[in-house]
Amino acid sequence: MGDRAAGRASAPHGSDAAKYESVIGLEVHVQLSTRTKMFCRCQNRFGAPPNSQTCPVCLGHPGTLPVINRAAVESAVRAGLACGSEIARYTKFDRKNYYYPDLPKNYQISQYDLPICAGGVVDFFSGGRRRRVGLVRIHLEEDAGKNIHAAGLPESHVDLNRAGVPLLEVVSAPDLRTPEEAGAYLKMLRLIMVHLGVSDCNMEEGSLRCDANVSIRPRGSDQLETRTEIKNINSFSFVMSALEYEIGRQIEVREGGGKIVQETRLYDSARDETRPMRGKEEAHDYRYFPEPDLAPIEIDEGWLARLREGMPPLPIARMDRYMNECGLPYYDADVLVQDRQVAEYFEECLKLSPSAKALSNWLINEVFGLMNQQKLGIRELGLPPGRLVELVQSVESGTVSKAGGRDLFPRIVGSTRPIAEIVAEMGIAQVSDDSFIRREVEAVVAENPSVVEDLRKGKKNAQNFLVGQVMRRTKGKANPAAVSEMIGKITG
Amino acid sequence: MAIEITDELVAHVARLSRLGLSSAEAAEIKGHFRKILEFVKTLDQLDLKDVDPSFFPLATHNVFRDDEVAPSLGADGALRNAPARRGDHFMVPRIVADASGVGGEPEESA
Amino acid sequence: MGAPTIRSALEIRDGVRSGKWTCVEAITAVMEQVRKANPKIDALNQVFADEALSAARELDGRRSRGEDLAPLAGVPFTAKDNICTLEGNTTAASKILHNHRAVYPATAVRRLQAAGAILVGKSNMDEFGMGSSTENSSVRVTKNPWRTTHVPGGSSGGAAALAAAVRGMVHLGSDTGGSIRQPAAYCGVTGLKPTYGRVSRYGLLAFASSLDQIGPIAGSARDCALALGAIAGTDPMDSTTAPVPVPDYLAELAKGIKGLRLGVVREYFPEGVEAEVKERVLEAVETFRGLGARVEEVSFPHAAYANPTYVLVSGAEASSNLARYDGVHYGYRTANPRSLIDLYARSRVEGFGPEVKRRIMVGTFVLSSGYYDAFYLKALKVRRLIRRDFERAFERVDAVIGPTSPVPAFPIGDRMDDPLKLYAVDVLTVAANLASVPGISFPCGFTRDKLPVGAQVFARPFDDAVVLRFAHAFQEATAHHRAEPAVCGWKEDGRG
Repeated sequence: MGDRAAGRASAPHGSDAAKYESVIGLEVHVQLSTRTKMFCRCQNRFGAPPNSQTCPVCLGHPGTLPVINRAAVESAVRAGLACGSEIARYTKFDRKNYYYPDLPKNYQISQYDLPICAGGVVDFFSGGRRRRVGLVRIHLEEDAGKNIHAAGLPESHVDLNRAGVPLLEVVSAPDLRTPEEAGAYLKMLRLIMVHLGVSDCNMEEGSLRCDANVSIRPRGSDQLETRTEIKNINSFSFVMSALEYEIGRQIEVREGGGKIVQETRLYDSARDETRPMRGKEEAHDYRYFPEPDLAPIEIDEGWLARLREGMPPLPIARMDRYMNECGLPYYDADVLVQDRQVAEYFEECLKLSPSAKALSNWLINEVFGLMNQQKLGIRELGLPPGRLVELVQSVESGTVSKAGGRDLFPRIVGSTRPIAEIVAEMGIAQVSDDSFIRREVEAVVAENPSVVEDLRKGKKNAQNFLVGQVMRRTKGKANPAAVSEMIGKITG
Repeated sequence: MAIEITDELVAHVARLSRLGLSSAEAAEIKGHFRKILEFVKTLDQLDLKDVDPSFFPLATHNVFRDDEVAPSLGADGALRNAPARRGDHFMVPRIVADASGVGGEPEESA
Repeated sequence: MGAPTIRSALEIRDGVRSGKWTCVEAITAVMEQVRKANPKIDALNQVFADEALSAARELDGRRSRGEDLAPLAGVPFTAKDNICTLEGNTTAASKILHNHRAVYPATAVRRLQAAGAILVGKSNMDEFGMGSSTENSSVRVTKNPWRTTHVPGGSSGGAAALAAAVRGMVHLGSDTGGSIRQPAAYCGVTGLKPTYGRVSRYGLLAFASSLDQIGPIAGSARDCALALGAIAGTDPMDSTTAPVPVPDYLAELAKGIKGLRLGVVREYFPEGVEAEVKERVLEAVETFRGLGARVEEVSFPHAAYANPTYVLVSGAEASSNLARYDGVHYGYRTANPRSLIDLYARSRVEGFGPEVKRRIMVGTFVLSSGYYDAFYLKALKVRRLIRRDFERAFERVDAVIGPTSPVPAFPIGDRMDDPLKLYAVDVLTVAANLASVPGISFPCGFTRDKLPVGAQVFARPFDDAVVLRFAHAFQEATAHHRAEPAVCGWKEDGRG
């Protein structure tokens, strides 16, 4: 939740908070991962040296004109299709006029009254419950550059590398009710965009940015009250902290008899508070008008059909399947779906084996570790789905123990040798042979009569002790499940 | 529609236009606004109820380009005409909000 | 051989091609004329004598190595100072860009140079294209070569003045509300505003995006056709160019105008048009009738609304297009700005001239909250009606005709006390920009005190060839376009 700085007014007490319901909407900017910018052919890449990724067009030089990047339009349509939005048959760009050094033309080419996508929903999980948030719109626009305030100097420095990068603005309806929900929604929206391949949604690099609109109202009311806009939220956890602070502040104001002022506030993560940014009187007049330098866009059924083909399932649809059809717990489903390649890999495994939980465990406990260590994607490891399935089956069938399996795992990666061969070479084949197990158990039982007595009396750890002894005698080779069963049989 | 051209209106439009007009200029433009309003009043004679505004002179649509990279200018090319630069950045006076809150956009730190 | 007597750009083109002249000879001869004439009329802001000679030598070199000659090799041209060239500065005749060096060439310039044409200078203009007399230049006042106390028209005044004073060149101008046609009329030369979308605007400093076009100004329709052929066509850098094939404009001229239907626009001869202007234009109509055109009267019921519509639409778009001139990334910056706001406000108020500031203010107002519907949106609806007037007329005729300007060239300073007096001379030209149709102005005679009068012909979108044919047919039958202004010391029969 973030530490609260001393000196800040404390959060309202439970009873005050309970009187009110929070009403939250998020405006999310997603930087598209197209190769080039929205209206020019400069490379769209994070982290280039300042002003090296610019051309006369994105620099707003005299006489230049924008030209629409088709791939950006298609990304926007796919995002809309994924969210069930209505895709506009006719859409256009508009100029949003304001002055700022990171906006070289002093207008931003955006969309005003005919956004490319209208409506839509995002389903997600929050606090163990399934929630649905409506979308108002998704539209395309160009990003601005970056203003950097030089420490200690009366100067600001402008880097226009980011100017002209394509952005999707996703505006949600004010359907969110808690900071946690807002965080969960944002995470799901991010996941959708990543699965579509439309953006890498990296908040640290700024390819996912979020502003929040917050208001409160008496619980039970359905009126929308005065809201504030919170900007400068730079991470997922700050989304929640900023909202918590602001909700607390608004409750305090209301409880103190005051009125909420409609304003834009900046979130200060160092102090964990929001501060007003603009006075009422300086509401921007953006003087929107249709962008005369760009032809309008008409999207026909044929184009939509081509874009629909090859759209992956939604992350939440995958999660539903993992939980409902495969019986996986929410945690596993959530983890598996974070990486689309992993989800697809997992699904390929499922075609070969029904052991969803075992597969999930292996992926989460072993495969991910290897991916992190080698900094490779799941398809680059040299562990085709069939091979992982074989490993799982080896453990299931008792050919190797769980521990044996973990030792076996690194050896089967990157190798096409039959697993049985490797098992034999490693000498880890697990023994489940009945007579062998019986012999060993009988020996241990004979050596530990008092423990057997404890077992018969129902003392809890006696079973484990006896199993452990057998495992020690057999140097881990015995199949523990079979040992357990045999102990039961012999001791009655 | 009777619009009154006041000093406040002219000052507001000047602020939106980022033009630091002198009082003489503002006075002259105030008079000019009045003349322009008079000049365009004739348009009110027309019945425009069922007329579609003409936004795009050409009947084209879907004018796109491929997502293929072309060489950029490079920082030196980009900054060649800069009135003030600091290394490879354009330089402006420090951006802070003024008294009325103008200019106080979200601050990003380096 | 002696200095060639050059009468047209086409003559240079053909002369170089046939080997009669080298490019160096042609350029040297023309530059000599420019050196003599320009000081009297101040048409050019920059002259590229060395670069032009270099380019000429390069072309001659290529030919002597046996390489094919480019189609316009050796033809000298100028570019209006709002058209980006790598050579020299691109200033739009504004203090705010007074030493701006473009980092890329305009497509139209690039195409002309690729065709072998040679850039010899940047022509003077009204600042950012805003004006009808070239008196709004921050650099100099250009004089009309027919009477140096008079304006050459605007905003492409420098181009038109030089086209009249020196033969053999083509000039790139720009036209948003008449800025090619009206100065062509005032200077007794031919100027074509192509159909919107015919010529790329990439590299043209935008004034009004839905109205601007680059077009040629030259001594004849034929020279204009030569230039248009080189610059027309789609451009991947300009989304508002149209995918319409470019005909061979020169070849089209030969088709003449016999049988074409010509509409005389009733509303283009109102009270405000001077009697002598009216007479010269109606004489031109008779000439066309004599050449076989079928003449009838047409009506543009919304003609009177064109100028107010233009003021609102062009102002609004200009206020946005000129926002980028802010002293931050290029151009003029005020000294010692105290803050960002101060940097913007003072750079712009100091850098822009009075007419530009007026238009930015009007444009911002027209788009601002609460006024958008009453002004900008309304103007766009009236624009629709004006377009319909043209569409309906073109169901009956192939072209329409009227005067280019209600008055001929007027004395310098005469209309500077009241901007609306200056707007009034645009009343007949703005409709073509609003309707996106091609329009050509050609000299159709003189007033009794020897000031040129221009007639204007419009045709359907992308029928630029048709307007060229009308002007060319007129020029085959008459000699007004061959008359040369006294400032050059040439006699009226055109001999040097």
